[in-house]
Amino acid sequence: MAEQMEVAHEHVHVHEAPKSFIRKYIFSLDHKIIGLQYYFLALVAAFWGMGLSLLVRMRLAWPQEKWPTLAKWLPYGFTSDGQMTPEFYLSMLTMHGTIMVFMVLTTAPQSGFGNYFLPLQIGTYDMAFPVLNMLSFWTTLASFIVLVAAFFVEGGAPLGGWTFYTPLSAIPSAGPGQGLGADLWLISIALFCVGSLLGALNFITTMLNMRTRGMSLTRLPLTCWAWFTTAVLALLSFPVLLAGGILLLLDRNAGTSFFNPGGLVVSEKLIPGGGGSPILWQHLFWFFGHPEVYIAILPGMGATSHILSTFARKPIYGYRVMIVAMFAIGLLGFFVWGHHMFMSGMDPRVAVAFSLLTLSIGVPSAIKTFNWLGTLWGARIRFTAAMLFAIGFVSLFVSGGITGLVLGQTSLDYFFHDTYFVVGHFHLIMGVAAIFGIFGATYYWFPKMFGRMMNETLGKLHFWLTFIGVYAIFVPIHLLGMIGHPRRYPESIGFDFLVSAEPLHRIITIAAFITAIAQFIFLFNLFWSMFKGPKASDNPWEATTLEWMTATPPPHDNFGGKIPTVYRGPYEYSVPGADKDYSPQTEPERVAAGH
Amino acid sequence: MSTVLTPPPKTKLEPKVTGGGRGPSDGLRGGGNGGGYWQPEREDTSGNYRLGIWMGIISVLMLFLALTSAYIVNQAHFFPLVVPPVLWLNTAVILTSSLTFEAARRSLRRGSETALNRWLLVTAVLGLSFLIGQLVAWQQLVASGFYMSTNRHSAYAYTFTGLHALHLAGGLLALMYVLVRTRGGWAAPRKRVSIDATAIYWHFMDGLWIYLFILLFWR
Repeated sequence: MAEQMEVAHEHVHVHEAPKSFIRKYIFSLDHKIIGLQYYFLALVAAFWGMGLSLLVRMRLAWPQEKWPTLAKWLPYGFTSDGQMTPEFYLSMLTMHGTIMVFMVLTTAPQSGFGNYFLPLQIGTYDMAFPVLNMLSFWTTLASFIVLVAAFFVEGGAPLGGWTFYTPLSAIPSAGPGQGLGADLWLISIALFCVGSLLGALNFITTMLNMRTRGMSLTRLPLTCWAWFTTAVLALLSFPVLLAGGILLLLDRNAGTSFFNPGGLVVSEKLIPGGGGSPILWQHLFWFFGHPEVYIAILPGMGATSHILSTFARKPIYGYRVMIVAMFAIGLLGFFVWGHHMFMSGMDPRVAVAFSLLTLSIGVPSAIKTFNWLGTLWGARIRFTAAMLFAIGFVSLFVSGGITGLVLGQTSLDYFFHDTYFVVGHFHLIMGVAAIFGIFGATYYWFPKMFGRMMNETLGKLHFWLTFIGVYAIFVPIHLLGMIGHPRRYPESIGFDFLVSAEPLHRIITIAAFITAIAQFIFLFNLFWSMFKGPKASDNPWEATTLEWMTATPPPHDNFGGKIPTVYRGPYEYSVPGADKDYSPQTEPERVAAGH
Repeated sequence: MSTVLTPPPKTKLEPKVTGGGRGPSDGLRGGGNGGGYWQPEREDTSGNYRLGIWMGIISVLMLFLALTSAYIVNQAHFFPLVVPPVLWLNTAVILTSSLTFEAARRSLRRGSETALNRWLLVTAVLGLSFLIGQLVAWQQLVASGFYMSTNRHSAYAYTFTGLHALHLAGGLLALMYVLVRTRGGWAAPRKRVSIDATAIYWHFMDGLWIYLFILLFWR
């Protein structure tokens, strides 16, 4: 806690623009640089995680195929004749999930864009605690490095899946990666918890205390509300994961038996200790894990609302209801963790309670969806790449959310639990939808962040390939679940009921490779535009919120020594009687409007 | 750390730089004078520090609530455990340290620098004694034959006391930082805010210890 007291000077609390390269770009206190640091960390992690998913897909589509070239590069993951081992497959699966959930979906939308744009949108010069902000990033980076180190230790990366279920995850002899690799995984997650908590309290304080003149709570852009809600969720849920991680580390290294039920025989050896509860881990993990999926998706909802309103040239439909719905989703998210555990021997009456609460999340989700559609209704839409991704987000949110209503019912979940149906569901709603949020936000805010425009044609090409690609991957994955294909199996051969799955697996893998290649269009566009794109004006999208009311890119103190004053709500597009179709928040009301 | 990472403020950066900036409402207002730095409406940032420390406390609370629920699920309380006698002394020490911290805040309000420094120092020494006392408690547990892996009750006793000590050590570091900076002549509002935030956290650690003591050792 010491850091909190260290962030301000005696006289002013605005830190000066740094001069040296190291202070400006590496150990930076500037929220914009820290936001970019998070963004690029997530970018590296995303491509890393995508590579792992391709290895997973290769094994599933062609389980007996030999890849001597790959085997030469990754000798520990392949047999001598070049076939991928099941253990290697499992560790790739585990690390794909961990890297994507923590290092991409939790960092980029919240810590990346949130850090960059929250202070800009509320009209202040920085986050409330700049040093704490820097420490959050460096803790997160350390967490990423420790996680990557797990690939290179003896036994390799852990095999436990990103949920790391006990008791096997508590037993170092349970598999090749379950020794030091699993310890590194847990340390990495513990560090990540600490980094996220520091970030969350910074976000909350910043949004509540640092708003500029006139920026009342109901004049905040929905992005700010989304980041705020996310920060509250992170503040309440990450400590619980940290608690679980500490107990699991002790079980593994200090001889305790918090999770070890006793009498376990692993690899022909009796595991000492006993009396613990393996289900306890599931409770602790999912009490974090369910809010975590909202931590991943809520910032995407905020960005989608923001982008839809901008390019529909209409106010967001039902602004206040959108805030309430977001909070309702966040609040309900804390009471539904049991729906991940219907099959854990849970009392059916408890399961029904969890089920009803789960299904009730459909209400605020539907409110959001209809409000997005209401925003688009009758609009003269500007189809930019950012807008396409925002519309894509709505599409994925619907198609991923509908299957949530299927899985949330106990009777149906008894069949679908741990099948590919679950994999398809959470990839659409949490993975791809959140990624579309990141893409939309990137195309939308890139001009402000880098001072240049991205290429729209490449952006649209990227959108269509990705949009069709992800549906081509994940709709067949739902079908695999419907035939009862269990997830995490390294292959489907040898099971009579999975014969029909083999061609589907190959289709999915081919679609995955095409979609993955399409991401390089984005990568090229990003870096090419950063240096060669046409110069961006201060407000290229003719938007209304404060981040567009300053220079591009923004100066160190965000508004160049000026104070923006806010006179109106965030989404006043096409105001009747106005001389242009957008009325910036800084523009005073000319006539006494009737609201 | 800001003293290491950012250059000291230049003289032109006076606390009130927004002074003449309330010009016509043209949307973007001029910062007025000097380097153009501005402040939000509030004169000081004490609100930030108080809110920040409360948010930190909420997250620590969630950590210990999660561990408490694990303690209950594991039925740890039904396993035998002795009360290390030194814990009574430690409890008295940490309770006293909260009182001395309050005495320090009272001295600050009265404007007595020497009393402030003395009480802060006493608080820090008491905090350090508590940490050492917790180590002694661990030794007494070991002497009674209770190791971490003996049973789940002892496992939680070590886990809870260890995590509490770690968090208190963080508070102690903050306190020592405040102590050093106060002696180095901190500006008054800055000093008050830092001492207040540290005190809130310190009292929370005190209360958390009482809770843990009852949870772990109440028979």
